[in-house]
Amino acid sequence: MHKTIILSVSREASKSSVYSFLRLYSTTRLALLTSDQLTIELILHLTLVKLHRLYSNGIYSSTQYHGFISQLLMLIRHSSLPSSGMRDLMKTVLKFSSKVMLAQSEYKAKSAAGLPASESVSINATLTHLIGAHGCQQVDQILGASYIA
Amino acid sequence: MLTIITTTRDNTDELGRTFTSLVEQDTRSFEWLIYDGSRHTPIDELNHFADTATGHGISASVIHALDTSIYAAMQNSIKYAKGEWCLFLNCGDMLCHKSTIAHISKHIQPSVDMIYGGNIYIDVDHTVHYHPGSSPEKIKQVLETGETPYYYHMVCQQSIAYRLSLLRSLPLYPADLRLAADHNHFLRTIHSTPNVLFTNMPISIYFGGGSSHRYILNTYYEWMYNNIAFIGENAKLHDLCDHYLDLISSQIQE
Repeated sequence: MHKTIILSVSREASKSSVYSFLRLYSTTRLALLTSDQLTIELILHLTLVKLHRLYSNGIYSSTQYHGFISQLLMLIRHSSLPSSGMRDLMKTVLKFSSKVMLAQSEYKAKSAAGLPASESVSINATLTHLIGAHGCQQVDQILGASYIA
Repeated sequence: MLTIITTTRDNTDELGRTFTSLVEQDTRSFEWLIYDGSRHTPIDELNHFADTATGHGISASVIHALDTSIYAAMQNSIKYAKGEWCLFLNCGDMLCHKSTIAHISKHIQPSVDMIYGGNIYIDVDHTVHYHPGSSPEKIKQVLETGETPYYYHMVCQQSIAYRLSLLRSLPLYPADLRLAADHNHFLRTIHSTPNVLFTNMPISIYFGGGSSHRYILNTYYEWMYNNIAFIGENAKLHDLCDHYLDLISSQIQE
């Protein structure tokens, strides 16, 4: 049976959202020092989801959003990961960045047309796979109460 | 026969440029399919272009459909093409020369599934860039070594003629990319089939100011993704990343 993970999306601009993102971001930096690529990829993905949430809720501007994406790419570039791992993580970040734009433009188009639009981020198969590989408890430790499993 | 497919959406001003380019062709052995996704433009305005083209001896028609993205529109449009081959000359794009279609048609043969050439890009500041393109072997070699990024000589979709069966078996858009799915498709194709022919003749002229220009950072992300996805195992990954990261940083700082 497939496990469904739903990340809650708060519309409120709160300091705690920013803090929890920054915590994830610094966790990503630390994770890049390890050699466990699965752990790095999971944390990186969660960081990206959180970043998207801050961006789509208007807490972070487009410039801040792109700035963080750029920093994540820089972190990976300067990590000591082997070439194949570095390439995989780069692709994860780059593909996610593209999806965010897609989600944003669809949201704006639907809003403009007066159609109901969902801001929720669908978690792709990669993340579901990663969460499955780690077990939900570890995700709970990372995200605290901000998701429902 | 070659079907020229023009996807358009609420942009009849620039459609005139594409229309003129087709009327000037020295052959009529092609079809023009206008695939319209307009939300506001009356269909009559599109029909006027098709009717006028018909008056010039071109077999032309209009299909109106709403799709989720430009790549979805391009992929769905091929269902309506009558030719065995197509070239996406989207709204505002032009062919380089009056003999371009005749030149492409001359190269169509059973053993070829894709024909491509160079392009001329006119930037928003009106500077003109000539991209001559290069052979599939050369492009694969560049990707394999990573010595230079696949950036300066990218092949644009306006300069590619596809056998329709190729697009049916290897669709344009399920690559999760919004702005560079065509480049991804091109690279997938040259890696998956030898039936690709490069011609030295420049094929299309296209203009800056579109989505790639408006979402330049996302464009860089997708170009970088494509480059990394196809780079060789032992390529210079750090150098390649630095090239794109410099581009991204320069845009963020502006």
